[in-house]
Amino acid sequence: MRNIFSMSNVDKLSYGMDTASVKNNVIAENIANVDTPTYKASKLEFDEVMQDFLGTGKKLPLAQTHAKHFSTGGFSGVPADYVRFQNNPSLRNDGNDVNLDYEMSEMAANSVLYQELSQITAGTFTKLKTAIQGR
Amino acid sequence: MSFTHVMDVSATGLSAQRIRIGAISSNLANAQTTRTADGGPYQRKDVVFEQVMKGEYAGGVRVQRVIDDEKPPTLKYEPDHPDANEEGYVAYPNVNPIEEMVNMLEASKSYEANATVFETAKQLALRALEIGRA
Repeated sequence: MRNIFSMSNVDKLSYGMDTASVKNNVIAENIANVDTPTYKASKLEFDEVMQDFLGTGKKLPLAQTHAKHFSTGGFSGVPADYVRFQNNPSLRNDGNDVNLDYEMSEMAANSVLYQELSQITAGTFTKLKTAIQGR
Repeated sequence: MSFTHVMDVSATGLSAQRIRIGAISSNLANAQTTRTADGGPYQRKDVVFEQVMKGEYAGGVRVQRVIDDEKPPTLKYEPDHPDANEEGYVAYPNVNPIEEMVNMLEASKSYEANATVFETAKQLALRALEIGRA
């Protein structure tokens, strides 16, 4: 079902914003636990989630051409399912492997990305309004 | 999963680091305290951090408990001191000011990092509210 919003990519943009906000969650959790013994840092790869969502990744999309085919399984549609451990080598004696500088730079980059997406989304709505009102 | 959740998580980080700084300030203030209500010299305090789990979701960090450092006190020979033992030695607290200062730097850097995350989450939430305003 193609509607006015899917034609203008709003659904993709909002999914991207969702992913970025989940990633922000993951980063906040890592930074909050920067001094917690044995804590292991997690990560969320924005590109990986989006490639699966848009079907442009390395995974070849499997077509379900028959009702009795197994489900393609690959894409869950929930960014939170892509959260994985970073498995950094830990040099600390309390077993914590959070790299604070990495987390802060990831957060800055993620924040710019989110603002970019929200700006494009806002611009899309502005264009739609212009088209509807005809001025 | 929203920005308010990020703010909650960062707030737990802020309060945990603040409690840690409280323990450090208590240690530095009592670095020379030779008598306490429990008898004996002041014992160095340390905090134990633990990750908070709300069901299966991670929800930040908390101070699980405050522990006493069991390292032996430092003995100094001061026979005129009222707290000296029979041999003339006074038990001073097991507080090493250099160690405390290093911990304080670490705690204050972690506090700043959490404050930055909080600020970023706030900016992003406000930015999301601007969509559709034209």
